[in-house]
Amino acid sequence: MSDIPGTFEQAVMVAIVRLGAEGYGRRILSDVQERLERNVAAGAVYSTLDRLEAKGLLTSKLAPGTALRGGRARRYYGLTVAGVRALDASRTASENIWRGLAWPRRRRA
Amino acid sequence: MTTVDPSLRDSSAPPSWAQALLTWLVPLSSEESIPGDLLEEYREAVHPARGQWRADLWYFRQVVGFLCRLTWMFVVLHAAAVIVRTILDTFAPPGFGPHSYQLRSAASTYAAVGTFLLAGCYAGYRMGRARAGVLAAVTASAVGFALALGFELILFRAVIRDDPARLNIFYVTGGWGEAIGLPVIVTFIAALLGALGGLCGKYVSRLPGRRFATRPWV
Repeated sequence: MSDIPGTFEQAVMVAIVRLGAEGYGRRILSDVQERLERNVAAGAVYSTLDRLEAKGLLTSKLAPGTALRGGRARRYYGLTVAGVRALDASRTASENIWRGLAWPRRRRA
Repeated sequence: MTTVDPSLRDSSAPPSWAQALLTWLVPLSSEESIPGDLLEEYREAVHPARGQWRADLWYFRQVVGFLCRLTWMFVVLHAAAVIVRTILDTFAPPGFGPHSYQLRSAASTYAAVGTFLLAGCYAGYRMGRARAGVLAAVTASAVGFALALGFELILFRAVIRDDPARLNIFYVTGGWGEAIGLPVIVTFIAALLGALGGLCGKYVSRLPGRRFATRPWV
C-alpha cells in the first residue's frame, strides 16, 4: 500500500492518539521527542501535521489561548477515520515485516 | 498579523524581531497556533531553565529551522548554479568557444531569475503570503552566494593562486570585487523577484480548491 505513513508520521500520529484531548502542537512535539529519544525541530513536527491534515489523515480545531501564550489560539489535532486506518495499516505492515524472525540474533560461540 | 492583548503579555519574551520573522514563515492557517506554542514553550520551559540569552538563542534556532525547511532547495539550486559557473570560468575560461562568455552570462542570469521567482512562488503558496516569498528569495540569494564564495575561496587557494594564466583571467573577469560585490546587488533584485513570485503564489493558494481557498484575498 502506498499510503502507509512513514516512521516520523507514525510517531506524530501515535502522539496524537496518546495525548487525546491534550493533543496540540507543543505537547505533540514533546511526546515525539521523548519517544524518538532525540531532539526534533519544531518545524519538522508542524510541517508533518500540516501534510497529514492535507492528506485527510488528521483534523484540527482552534481553541482559545492562555495568557502564557500571549492570548494566541491553540490548535488541537485528532485522527480522522482515514488516519486510524492508515495507522492500522502501518502497524500491520511493521508486524508482517518482523514476523517469524528471531531478533536480536544470537552470536555464535 | 496576529493582534495580542497587551494585558496578556508576560515579562519574559523572545526578541520581537524574531517573533515577527516567525509570523512570515508559518502558514496562514497556523499564524496563531505555532507562534503561540513556541512562546508557551519559551516561557514555561526554556526561559526558566536556560535564562534570557540562551532562551533567545533557542527561539532563534527554531525560527531558522522554519526558514531552512522552506528555502533549502532554492539555496542549493542557486549555489549550484554559481559554483558551476565558477568551475567553467576557471577550467574552460571565456573564449573557449564562440560567444561562450555571453552564453554563460545569459544562462547564469536566467537561472538566478528563475530560482528567485520559483522560491518566491513556492513560499507564497505554502505560507499564503507574499512576504514569505521575499524572505525565501533573499535567503536563497544570500546563503547561496555565501556557499559559492566558500567554494571559490577553496578553488582560489587550490588552483588559481599559483597559476598566472588563471590568476589573470580571475582578475580580468572581476576578481574578488565581483565575487563579494555582485551578491549584494543581486540580493536586492532577488527581493523584488521574490515579492513578485510571492504574490503569484499567494494568489494561487487562494483559488477555489487550493490551500487557503477559504481565506479572503487581502
